[in-house]
Amino acid sequence: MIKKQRKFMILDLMICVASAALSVVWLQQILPALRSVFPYSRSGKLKDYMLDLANITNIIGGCLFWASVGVTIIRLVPPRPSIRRLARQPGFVACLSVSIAGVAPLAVSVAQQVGRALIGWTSSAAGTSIPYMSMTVNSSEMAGAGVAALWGILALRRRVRIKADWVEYTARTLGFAWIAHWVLFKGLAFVWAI
Amino acid sequence: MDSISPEFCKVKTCMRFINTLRNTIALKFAVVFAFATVLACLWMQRAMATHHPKGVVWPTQALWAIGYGMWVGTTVAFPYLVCWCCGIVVLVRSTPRSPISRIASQPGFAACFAVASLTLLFFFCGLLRVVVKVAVGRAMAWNRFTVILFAYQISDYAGQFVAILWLLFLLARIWRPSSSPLETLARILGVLLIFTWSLDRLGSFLMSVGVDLVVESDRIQKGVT
Repeated sequence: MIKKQRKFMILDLMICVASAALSVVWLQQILPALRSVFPYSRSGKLKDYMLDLANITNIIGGCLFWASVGVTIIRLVPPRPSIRRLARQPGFVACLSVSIAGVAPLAVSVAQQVGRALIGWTSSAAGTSIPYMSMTVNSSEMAGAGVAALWGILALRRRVRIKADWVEYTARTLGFAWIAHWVLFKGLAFVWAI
Repeated sequence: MDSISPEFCKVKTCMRFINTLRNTIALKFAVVFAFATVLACLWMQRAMATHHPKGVVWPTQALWAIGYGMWVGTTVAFPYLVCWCCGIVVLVRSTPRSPISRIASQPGFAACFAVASLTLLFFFCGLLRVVVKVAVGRAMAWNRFTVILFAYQISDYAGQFVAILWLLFLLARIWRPSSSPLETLARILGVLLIFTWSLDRLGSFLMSVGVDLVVESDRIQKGVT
């Protein structure tokens, strides 16, 4: 049980702004990549609209990812319940898992790029900033399914902590959004393949 | 009562023996794992057939070769691990067991359950796709059929997912493993999944570095000449 309800603080606002800024940077990087990944002609067919929607879904995935990272950080800033209690709350579980799944490959790729830059390599297959962004997109493709599976295990344990504050409710909303994102993405891929 | 014929006695004894065998966990274990292994063989065959690096010229880079070797090894290993995880979930469900809420606190079973549920989810996505394609009237070759069913990239994420799940278990302090052989086997499979996933990532990393080295050496040679 959360003894002290957390209120919206100025620090939370700052974290929200920072995650929004990261989303914008991500969008700036990913939009040209998406254009190159899905080259298509404007023929007015349903397939084109499906690809448009798939691009939009990718963009939404990136924004959701940075929002999840932001909410995870907000949740970890005191005052907060103990980590033990947090790790039993579905919203925090969803956001933390998505953040780890996305940030880990991102960190590896950034380290790789920094290493390349330090050595002085310029011309390489992964010499641009696109690959690590696309790695995040790849991770986000699986995020919804992962969140659903994690929530399934929490439901099996039958010890889901119901009482929550606004951060937890936001995190749960993000969890549902991830699942919806995954269903939408798979649905679009399905229709496009047919 | 009339006397029972010796043939009938033999049949009855045989049936009793078969029933006893059927009820033992060992037989269930063998059947389930044999079935899972067959499925894994099919999956592995498809994975190896569809994911070979098309158009890639073998570079002379040792790093690339090592990375490629790791990648091939993990591509072979993943289907077996994932299918065996599904087998463990089936076995746990079919044998006398503790309440499901207690089993869900066991890290091995939780890992296997998560991996199996994700695999089944992706499997049914593929199956739905095939059914709709056939219903629409598009002919599908058997090879393509199996590719769509099995070639989803769940195996790339299974180890990562188990790692995150176990991290959450540790954070929530609900790491309560039991001493049953199935749970021990499930935990071993979880560890192997994480290990294989790490090798896969390391292999990809080494391959990209190997390609970079080739590209850089080409660039330097061209610059010199």
